[in-house]
Formats: sequence, C-alpha cells, structure tokens
Amino acid sequence: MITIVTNYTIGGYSKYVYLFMPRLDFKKLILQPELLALFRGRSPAHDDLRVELTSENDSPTMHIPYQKRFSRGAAQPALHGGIVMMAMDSAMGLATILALDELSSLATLELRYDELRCPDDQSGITIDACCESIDNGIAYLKAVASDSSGTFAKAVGRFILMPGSQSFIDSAMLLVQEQE
Amino acid sequence: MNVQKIISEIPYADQLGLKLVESNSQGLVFCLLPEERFIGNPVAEAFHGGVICGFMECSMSLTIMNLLKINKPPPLINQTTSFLGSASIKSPLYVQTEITKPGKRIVGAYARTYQDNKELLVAKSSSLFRLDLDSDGA
Repeated sequence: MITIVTNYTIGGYSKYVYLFMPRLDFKKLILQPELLALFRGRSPAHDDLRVELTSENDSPTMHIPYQKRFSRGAAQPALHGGIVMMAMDSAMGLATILALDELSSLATLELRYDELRCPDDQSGITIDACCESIDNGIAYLKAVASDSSGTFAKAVGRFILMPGSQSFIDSAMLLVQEQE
Repeated sequence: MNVQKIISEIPYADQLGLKLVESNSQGLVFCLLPEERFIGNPVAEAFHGGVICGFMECSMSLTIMNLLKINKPPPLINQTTSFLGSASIKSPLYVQTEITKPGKRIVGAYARTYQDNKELLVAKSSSLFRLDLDSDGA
C-alpha cells in the first residue's frame, strides 16, 4: 500500500511525500500494455520512436521498428546511429527504474556508444539494457543493440538519481494504485 | 560544399531539422529548433538526451564531410557524451563542432552543445570516425 501524506509546490510543480513505499513491481508491470502506453505517453520522444517493450531475464528489452525517416541515406538504408543512441539511452533509463528500491527520477550523466558495425539495411533493432549497480546515487548501466545478424553496438551509461522528483515514475505509481 | 544539401540527403538529419548557421575558425555551428517530439521529460520540459546525442553525431559527421570534401557520412566508431545540464525545450540547441584529429584512417571530432549562453554547456561529446577507403575524396 502506498500512502500519500501531503503535497507541496516547488517551482510551480506539485510534489508529494510518500511513506510506507514498497519496492515497485515494474517487472510485472512491463508486460502490461498500460506501461508501454505510459512510457510513450509521458515522453513525446519515446512516442516518436514507436518504442515497443518486452522483458526478458528481469531486464527491459526495447524494440525499434525500421523507419525510413530515421535511416542513414539512400545508399545505406539502415537506422542511423543517432536513433540507436537514443534508444539505448531510453532503455538504460528504464533499466534503472526497474532496479530502484525507492521513488526517484533520473537524468543521464554520461553515455558512451561503440558502434561495432552498421545495423542491417531496413532492419528493426533490439536493445537489451542491464543495470549493473546503483552506488552513491549513481546508476551504472550497460546495453547491447542487435539486429537479425547479432550485436552491432554496445553502450555504457551513467545516470544520476534525483529522489523526490516527479516524472514517469509518478505516473507508474498511479498505475500501481489503480491495480491494487 | 553545400552542407544543407547533404543534410537533405540524410533522412535522419533531415527529419531532425538541423540547420547550418555558422562556419568559423573552430568548425561549424548547427542549430536545432525545439519541437514537442524532442521532449524526453515533460515535467522538466527538456530535450531527450538521445536527441542531443544524435544531433551532435550528425553535426560532427557533417563537419568531417565538409572538411574532407566527402559525400558519404564517415562510419562512427564511438561517441562519448557527457550531459552537463538540462536542455530546455523552450530554446534552440546549438552545436559547435571541432576536428581534433584529422587522420588518414581515423578522424576525431569534438562537439559542444549550448542554448542561449555559449559559455553554459548543456552537453559535450567526443567521437571517432573511420574513413572508409572507398569514401569519395578521402
């Protein structure tokens, strides 16, 4: 059960103080279409990517369908590295949320992207992200991007946690409450 | 070399809508106007970090193409991006590029992203690109 004690306003945004917060079961939620709708709906950038979510081995898997508008050019109709980086950033952010023990918003501090090869032409891509640890308010992640031929890119990310902030996670909380 | 024409031939760069606004002694300056579809965090009303990464990659790639007079985007080897602050969706983003290693096989590039104040960076990025032997003009 989640108890909302009070709310207050900082910088024009209403903030809530939560007590007795159990760990959120996002691993269960991720398979539900409502979470995908929430993930997309809360972020126009995710909606524009046409992200699809699944969960395997307790980690989020993100699929981006091939879209010609995101390609590298007529001679190389593969998804552009910029889109791959964006998808990996989003997948690692979601992996961080899945690993949280308490409410927090987050922001990317650093993203290192290694492109082993260009993805296959006219192919969708899949991103697997994993949170390795959360220490001193920093989440350490890695992600792998693959197409039908296998891995084509790797990334490591560092996210800073900002407890008390409101964003996607607050909306997810409401989803939890509605289901209880 | 017509950079804006090259942008129109790269669907990803074209749909982003980046524009060349300045050519200076360091490199090139590109601009990205705010659009709702770039928002990553609607509460903070900020650009998505991935959009910034992609904008910087395109800007560095275009700078290399312009410098070396090649018509094909050089393949990216890696890119390390540090995010130094939130990028408000209410102001345009600017990227100042710089070539740090104009090698024969590898080209290093650096990009700084800012909004209203050039001195207040939103993000910075360092990348390595490979020059394919079959790249035009390389």
